[in-house]
Amino acid sequence: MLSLWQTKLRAGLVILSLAAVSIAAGGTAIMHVHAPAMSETTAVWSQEAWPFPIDQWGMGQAFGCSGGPCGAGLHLYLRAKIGFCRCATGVSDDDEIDRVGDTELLGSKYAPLAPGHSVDAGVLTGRARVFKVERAFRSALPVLTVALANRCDAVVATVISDSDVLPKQEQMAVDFLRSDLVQRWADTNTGSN
Amino acid sequence: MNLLWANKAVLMALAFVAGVCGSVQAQEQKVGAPPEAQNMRLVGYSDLQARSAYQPTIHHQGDRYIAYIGHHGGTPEVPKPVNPLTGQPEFNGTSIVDVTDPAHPRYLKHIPGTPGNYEEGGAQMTRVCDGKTLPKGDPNKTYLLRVFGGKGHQIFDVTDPSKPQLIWQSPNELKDTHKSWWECDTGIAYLVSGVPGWRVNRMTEVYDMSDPAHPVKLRDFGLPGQEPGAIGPVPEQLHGMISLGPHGNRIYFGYGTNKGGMMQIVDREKLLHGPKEPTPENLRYPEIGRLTMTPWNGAHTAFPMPKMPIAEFAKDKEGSQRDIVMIVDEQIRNECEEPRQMAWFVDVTIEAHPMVISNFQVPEASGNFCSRGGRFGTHASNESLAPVFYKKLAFLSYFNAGVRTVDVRDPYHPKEVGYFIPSITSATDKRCVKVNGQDRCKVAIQTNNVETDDRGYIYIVDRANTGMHILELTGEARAAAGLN
Repeated sequence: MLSLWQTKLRAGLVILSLAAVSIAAGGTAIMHVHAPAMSETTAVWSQEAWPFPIDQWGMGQAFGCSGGPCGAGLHLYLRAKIGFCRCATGVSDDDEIDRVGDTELLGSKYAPLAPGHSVDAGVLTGRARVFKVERAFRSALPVLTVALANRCDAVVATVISDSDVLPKQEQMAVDFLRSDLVQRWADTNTGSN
Repeated sequence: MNLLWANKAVLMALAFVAGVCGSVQAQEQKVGAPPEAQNMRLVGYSDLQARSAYQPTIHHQGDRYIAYIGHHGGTPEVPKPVNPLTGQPEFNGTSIVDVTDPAHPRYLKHIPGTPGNYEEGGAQMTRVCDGKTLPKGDPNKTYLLRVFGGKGHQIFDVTDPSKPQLIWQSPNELKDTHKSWWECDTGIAYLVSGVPGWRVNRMTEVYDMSDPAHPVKLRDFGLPGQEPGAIGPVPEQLHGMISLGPHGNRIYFGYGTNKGGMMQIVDREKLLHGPKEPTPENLRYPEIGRLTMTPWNGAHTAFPMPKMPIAEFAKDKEGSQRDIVMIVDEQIRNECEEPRQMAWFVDVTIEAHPMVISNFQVPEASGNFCSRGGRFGTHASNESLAPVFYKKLAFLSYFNAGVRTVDVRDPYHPKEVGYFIPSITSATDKRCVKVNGQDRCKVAIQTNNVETDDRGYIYIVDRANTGMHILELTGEARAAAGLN
């Protein structure tokens, strides 16, 4: 158990790191996840470095989960796309997943493997769909794209697995999107008029 | 370490965050304060019933000048402002204002739009043509083309602008609509639509509206990859276009709004008469050239200025005259929370290889605009091709920096010659950003769109419900336009 001063010190450092990264990322607040304890039944996520080159949507948040129910490894890349959603209907069809999603981060040649389906995560609602991204000299990579809306803003999660994206992995990713951590981040960064 | 040190760490961190995020309190507008202006003067004003305004079209209609102003939807606080002419609350739609006497604009009519706040509702776009110029129009009538929220397009008979009559509505519900273009001499209309099945919310439907009562759809158009059935990345969606008609045979399309910008040059004849099935090959066929912008900027307006003599190049054996397109980006986020949007001047003389040659922007420090509240950056330009200003002065709506008058006679060195930032009123709506998860709101003018008439008046409208200001030029700006 952490003592009171340790807790306060950690809170201060988290705020400092939040501020520093916010400046670097152009004002987008970042989440901070502490080093996890391993669990065999509960997925435990830890923050990773954003592995992609910068583009117009800026740097996102990267998370990893390994061991326990996550198996060999599960990676989730999360970004807010302010003002990119249809305000009235949000992400209501598969075309909108294709349009707002971040599947392109993994490669420019991809195709859906199946129709999408509805997903909700707290204040966020939208759809999820599995794609297959072609890779040179390697087998195609299955990618789960989750596109959610908070009013006119999109929150996009891109999930890859070291093995495959199965319903179990999708459930863990969606549970993570429903976590207080992500919900607070989404509430802080999206949904303004 | 001890508890005191830890407390200090928290306080220092919070102070650091507050210092970074809070910024300076600088030049926020106050109700009652005068406008800020240089070489521009306020002539007249209409409050537009405190409705959020988008596109104004000023039409010389018989012996009158009529302004048709499209509106965004209402606000959560006032989703249906009351129309004083009817006494009824009405969803924001289209304001019709007689501006024959610009000092005393007279509000004639409000045509309600669709339910929905902000960009969810309203009727943002307006274009107006006379029946006497349309090939199959009634020569005694005038017609208004507008969007009906995101759902469709409508045409009204506005011969009597106080009594508009709906004469046509697009048949199918669309995903979205926006800033269309209507050629008054041919009747061809390029409608920004979201046809179900297409992978974007905004693409082009081409219509023959030469008979406004019976429009005929000619084809759909978009970028390869946007068409139904395509897979892979979806190219950035359309924002709007401007056609030079059959004489110029070019249409300039702007894609993206604040990101992923692209300007596309299209051969009008090939678009109208080429193969229409939306295959990648057929969609590529009419394209002459394109400019891919930095993904941090979008193309809201692509305003063509062909055959501009460049004084500096006057003695050059070749290239003394250039075809120019002014691309205007739209700032979307409040208080500078995204890359700066501005106006770009593009030399398209060699159409297959467009190149940016200059830009225009307002220095932030000249008004501490990032701290004033709301958006700061460009949104749109005037789109009138009337000789009074065309290829001489351009007017840019710049949100909290008002309207900026730019001398474009040398597009390699555009120069500001005037500006006007209207005063806010009690009707001006707040604009908010999230600070530590909470909304922090400020009130500032949000000059959204601008248009000019053939007399030389400038009309600016406010996104934050302040209304419409009618302006004229003075001093150096007036001289640059060649006005007395």
